[in-house]
Amino acid sequence: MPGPNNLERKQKIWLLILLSALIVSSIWVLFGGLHNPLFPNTTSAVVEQRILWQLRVPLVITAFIVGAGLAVSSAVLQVLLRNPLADPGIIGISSGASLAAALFLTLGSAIPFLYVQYLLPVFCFLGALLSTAAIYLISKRLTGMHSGVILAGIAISTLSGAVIAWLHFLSDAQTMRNMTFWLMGSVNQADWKVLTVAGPSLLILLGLLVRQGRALNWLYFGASSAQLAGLNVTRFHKMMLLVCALVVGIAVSIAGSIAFVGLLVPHMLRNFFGYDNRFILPASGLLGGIVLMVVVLVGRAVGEVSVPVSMLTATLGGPIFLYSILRLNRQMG
Amino acid sequence: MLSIENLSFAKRLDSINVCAHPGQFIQILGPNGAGKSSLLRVIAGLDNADAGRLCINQRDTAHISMTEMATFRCFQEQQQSHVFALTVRESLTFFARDITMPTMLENALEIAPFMSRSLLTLSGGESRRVQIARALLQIWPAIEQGQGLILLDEPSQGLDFRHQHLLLSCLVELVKIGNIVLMSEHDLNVCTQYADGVWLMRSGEVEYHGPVEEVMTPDILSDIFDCQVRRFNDLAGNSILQTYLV
Repeated sequence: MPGPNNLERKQKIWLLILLSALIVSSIWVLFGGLHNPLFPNTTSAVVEQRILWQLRVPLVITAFIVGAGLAVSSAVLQVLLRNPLADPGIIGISSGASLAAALFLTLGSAIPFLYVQYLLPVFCFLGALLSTAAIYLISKRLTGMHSGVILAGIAISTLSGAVIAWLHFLSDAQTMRNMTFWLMGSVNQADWKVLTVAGPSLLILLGLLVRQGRALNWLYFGASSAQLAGLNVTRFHKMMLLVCALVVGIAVSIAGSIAFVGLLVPHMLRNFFGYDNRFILPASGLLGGIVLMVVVLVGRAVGEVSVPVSMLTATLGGPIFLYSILRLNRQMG
Repeated sequence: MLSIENLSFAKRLDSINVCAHPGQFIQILGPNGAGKSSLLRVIAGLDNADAGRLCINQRDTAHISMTEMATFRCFQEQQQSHVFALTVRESLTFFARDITMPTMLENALEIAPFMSRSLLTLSGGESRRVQIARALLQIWPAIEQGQGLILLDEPSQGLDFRHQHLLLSCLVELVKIGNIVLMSEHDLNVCTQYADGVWLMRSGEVEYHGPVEEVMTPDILSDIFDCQVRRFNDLAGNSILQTYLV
């Protein structure tokens, strides 16, 4: 058995394997289809170099931070809300953020573009925070129900979805295309300007979340067990919900609303590697990044047009999730 | 030493004055709703008293941090629900500072056979044994030094009688090296065999407290529980308490 702060050898090896897989898939996304982007000596190679720096590198960074952000924040939310089904998409945090973004884009068309890229993440975060607070407060009133959070989340997410659909219905053609991005997600939208702000902030927040494994392990047994083990549960809860809302808000602001990664990744990891959050959190970050890289690669194989990410995550994730829950059922039977 | 002075809490506990010395095994006894669990929760630090003082070794617990409390005080709660399919081993590892299961604890709780099973598949009694192990392991270093404050809320609920005896004998051993055990428990006879002090509660008050032989008399028990209790000796001379309705 491992001590309070040390990972088992097996866990360390798996983290290394996941890290290698992440690096390999990133390199594939970066250089796939390009012939000689690093040392350009022909005109076509100069174009390739531009593709690499202006499109591929931002794409890889986006895929990693968004995948990792969604997966880690879900892993945290699942324990915090004591519900293995918690996912920013399912419990309505993403849709709150998307709604804020959609409202901002529709109503704020008068704002100069320069400010949009900075204000948009702020709005997404506020949307995420408001919906998190709403879910938290509603589920608190449904005391004694494990599904309270999910029910509250479905309500919030349905409401946000409805408002977004109305905005979609009433908007002009260009705004409509932008809306599709917020509803289905995309990793191809981010550019360097957005990433210079979003990238470091997400990484710092992720670093903060990944270190909470020990406290989250206590919270599997409920608030009082964690308090008995020495955790200031009220403060921890508030801080973690805030950080998760921030992470989801930023992730949505750069990649729209991406479904399923958050639910699938930690769930699969817990199913196969056990429940130790000191391992699950960093592993979720790595695997979340890998999943989005794979989605990018599959999207690239499917066609020239960029495929909405949620379409792919749901197509790939659905069967895996089904397999994973059936396996869980067998373990319990 | 644990001392409680004029402690009141939310209409459930009313100016309680009791104390427990190192090496004492105290059973908290009383009818349903008497305030046994509330008292244990306040002592554990899960609820804050509205009035009064709670001191451990002359230190007011209001000035002891949760992190420090967590090193010497453990509490097995009456209710425990799990949502996640953690294994028994994981549930123990997450709380234990030291990582090996002490032989003494394993002999009493016999957890090894289901160490790798999911908590969700355990029977009520097995689950309770794991819960007790988790609580004790959290402060095991303090227990080994005789500095532990062990709070147990109906630990024998669901345990078969062999495991009840194993658990209680183990607690007696822990008390011998200086630990304090406070245990809420309904069984009169099992506890007269093991506990050395009783706090008898009714309607949020500790009405009687003292050594087992002084407090656990048929008259007092009949009065508190509003149910008849009589004492007789078996052939081997052991005193047995029998309860019945008139």
